[in-house]
Amino acid sequence: MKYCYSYIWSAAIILFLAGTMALLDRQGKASRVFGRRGPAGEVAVVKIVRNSSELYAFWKQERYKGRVLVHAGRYLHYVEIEPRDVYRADAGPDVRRANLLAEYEKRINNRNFLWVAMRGNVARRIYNVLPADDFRKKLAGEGGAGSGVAVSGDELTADDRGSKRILSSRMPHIGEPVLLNLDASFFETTEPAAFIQDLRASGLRADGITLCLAEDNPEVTRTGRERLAKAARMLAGEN
Amino acid sequence: MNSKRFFPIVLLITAAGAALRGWGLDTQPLSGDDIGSILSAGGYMESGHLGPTMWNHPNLRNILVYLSMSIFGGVWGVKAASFVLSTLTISLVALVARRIFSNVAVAAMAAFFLAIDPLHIDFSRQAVHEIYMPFFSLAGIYWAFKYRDEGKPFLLILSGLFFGLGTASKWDVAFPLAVTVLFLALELFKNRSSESGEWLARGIFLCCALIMVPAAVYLLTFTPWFLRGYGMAEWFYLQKAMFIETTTHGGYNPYNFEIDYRAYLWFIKPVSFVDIIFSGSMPKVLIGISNPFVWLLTIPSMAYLLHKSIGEKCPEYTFLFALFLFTYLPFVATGRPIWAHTAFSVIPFAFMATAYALHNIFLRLKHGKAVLSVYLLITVIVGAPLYLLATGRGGDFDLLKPAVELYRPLNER
Repeated sequence: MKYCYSYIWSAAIILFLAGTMALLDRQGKASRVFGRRGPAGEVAVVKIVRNSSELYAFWKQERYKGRVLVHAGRYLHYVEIEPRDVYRADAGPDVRRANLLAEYEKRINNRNFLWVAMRGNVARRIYNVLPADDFRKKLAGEGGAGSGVAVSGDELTADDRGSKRILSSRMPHIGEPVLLNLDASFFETTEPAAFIQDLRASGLRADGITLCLAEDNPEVTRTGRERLAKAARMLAGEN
Repeated sequence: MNSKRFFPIVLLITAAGAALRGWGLDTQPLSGDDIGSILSAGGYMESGHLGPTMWNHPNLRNILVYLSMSIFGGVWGVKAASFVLSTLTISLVALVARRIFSNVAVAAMAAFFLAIDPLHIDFSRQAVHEIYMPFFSLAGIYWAFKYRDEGKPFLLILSGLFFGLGTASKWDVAFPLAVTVLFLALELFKNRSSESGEWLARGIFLCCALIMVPAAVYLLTFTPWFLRGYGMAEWFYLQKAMFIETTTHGGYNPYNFEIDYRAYLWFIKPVSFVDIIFSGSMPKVLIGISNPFVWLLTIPSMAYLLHKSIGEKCPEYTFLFALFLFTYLPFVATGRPIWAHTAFSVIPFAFMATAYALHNIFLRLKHGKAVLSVYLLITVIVGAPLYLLATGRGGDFDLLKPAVELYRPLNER
């Protein structure tokens, strides 16, 4: 029964592969950092911030990592910062000391803060929830062959180097607590009560809720900010 | 050639190849890809991010460049992995060729072709991972041959380990891996004993060692990425995104379309790849051009090998032919641009067949050894200016300046 050793070796290799998969899956998921007040998302941290820099600083302060980030707003805030803008092409081997993330964080603004959140490992997947009219416009302009954007149902799915970015007009169903960011731009065209109703109906669990007044976004009006403040009160149960 | 002299000669050829690859390496300015490789290595190892350079390829380069930079620092740290693996590939060509042809002269000649190859030298001096693939493929094949001869299971696991590291460099190593699995599986089936349980057990082990071991190694190289918070389901999504980018990638630089970017050209005309490095007052131009006296013999040599393989019913010859064909054809068939450096995945097989064909044909002639020596001398003479061009010294010689000018971007002419 000499060949029995072949079976033993085969079993060991199969176990090794299965163990590797299980270990990486577990370690990956264990690397996610949830809100300090409730890892299961029972009690959410709610924070109002004035602009994208404050928002990002809050995420970093709370040490959120590897999270699904749901952003409700009219804009995508995903303009890439070219790496070549932050290091010298003739830097030589010393470029190794360049801290790209620190450079990106210095350049954070309302056009790119979600992109920086992905680079900074705050988020690993981003859902952009847009007002219905804005989403319809996106839907009409995207999803052609070779665009890199997949259309399925009422969602547009793109990816950033394998990390999903999903655009939709409705709150997603996600099996883990999320970081929820409400941007004042969202309330330009949406009433807070309708939004809160949708949010509660979606069953979305969030362990960190931020409300951004978007003071660094000239497109956002006073109405949007006032409605955002109202939404904040409703979320806090004061309406 | 006396087989006792095989190892000293291979060592000598390897040392010469190392000298050609290392000469003046520390004074060669870093290219955009080198800088991108440094940033990608740091970004990957320290925070699990892919890119900015070639995010769609697997991540062994990031790991090796990061480790070698941590150990050596400086320019050598950036390029040590490429330098070491490319040099070792020379020896591996000889070792694998000897296993296939049982002829030390053929093996040494094949290694010699790689040692002096200008395009291979060019990329041995860069941080990007183009020269990793032939090393890991040949190492996997070598240990698979050892297993075939000795039957010890750990030898096949070692082979799977190297193939895994190869696929963790670039996916095209999966082609020689598939051919190796098929070759061993067919032999196993042909030589199956009456005890049916044995060949089944060995067949299962073969699949485990050459499919599951590489898969596990490949997966493990994604550890820094997983630590960003991802799980297995998202890893499969990442693989799909990498596949889409890899199969549709159109290059990062419009200039790349002014040089050879079709795989079918590799063995019918001299092909080249050019890097223009802006550093100091004058740009440095690295022009890697294939040595026509070696590369252009590939197709007739492969035809000769096929003829011999059928005539002599030699499974090793068929294996080498299949390695070449099934690694090369996918590149020819793809619609996206494929640049000349991708040929490194097939040239070791091409050089082995060429060395075999030349050796067999010349030695039938009356003064065959002399003719072969003259031929080898011609490859060196032709290779000398190509070497200067590949190492960015073309602009220093008046005779070579017109050749450098040929590669000036169209918008500057």
